[in-house]
Amino acid sequence: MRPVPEPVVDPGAQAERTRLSWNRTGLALAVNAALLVHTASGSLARHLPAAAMLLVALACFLLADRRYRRIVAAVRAGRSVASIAHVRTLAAVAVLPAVIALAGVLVP
Amino acid sequence: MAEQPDSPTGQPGSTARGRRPRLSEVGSDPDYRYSLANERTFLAWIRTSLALLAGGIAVVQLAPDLGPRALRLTVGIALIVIGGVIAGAAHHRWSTAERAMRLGTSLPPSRLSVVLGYGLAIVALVVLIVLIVAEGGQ
Repeated sequence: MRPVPEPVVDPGAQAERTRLSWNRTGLALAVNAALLVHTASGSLARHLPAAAMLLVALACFLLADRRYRRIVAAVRAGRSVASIAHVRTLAAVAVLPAVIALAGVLVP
Repeated sequence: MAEQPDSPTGQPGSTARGRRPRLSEVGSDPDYRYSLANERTFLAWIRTSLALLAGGIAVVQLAPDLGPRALRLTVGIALIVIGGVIAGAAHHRWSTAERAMRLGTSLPPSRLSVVLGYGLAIVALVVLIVLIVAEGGQ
């Protein structure tokens, strides 16, 4: 007997596309962190902003994975998929790189 | 960015107290695909902002031959400020779009593309002039 195929929950692969989008954002943050490491000279303190940004990049990857599973579960259960917390957290953190970059450029 | 545009339907998202209700309290859940597309658009704006930041740092720190330091600093700061404005406004765009989708109203126009488009056009013009002047001086 052939197993009954599970119904496709998310035919447009929206959940996966959203996860990849979070991953790309994490990568962009990591690239910025690498650039900061490259341009930072001297003391360990000057590498702290880059380290902070790298942590945010890592958080993006971990969040992407968790968000993917939450979305699939929500779609399967017919619940809302909007996550104000995720977007708000990244929005708050995303201004940080701009401040760091500005400080890095202005402080010789 | 904080002011609310006048809505012909009398601002359906506001209450009598003047305080906007929480996003999850207005309207009804839209198709999950729209919510996720909105989220991905937010992430795309964040990445655009990060690319501008990287460009700003690179112009100042990694391209000393481009021109005098004051000019590179101006271009770099302009790029970083545009990036910062976009990062700061991206959440507002996401939340107004999500609200409009929940209420079934039309999507509000976003000024983010104006900031990015005209901002980058001005930066490009400045870089072009710097390059032409630098080449002409040799």
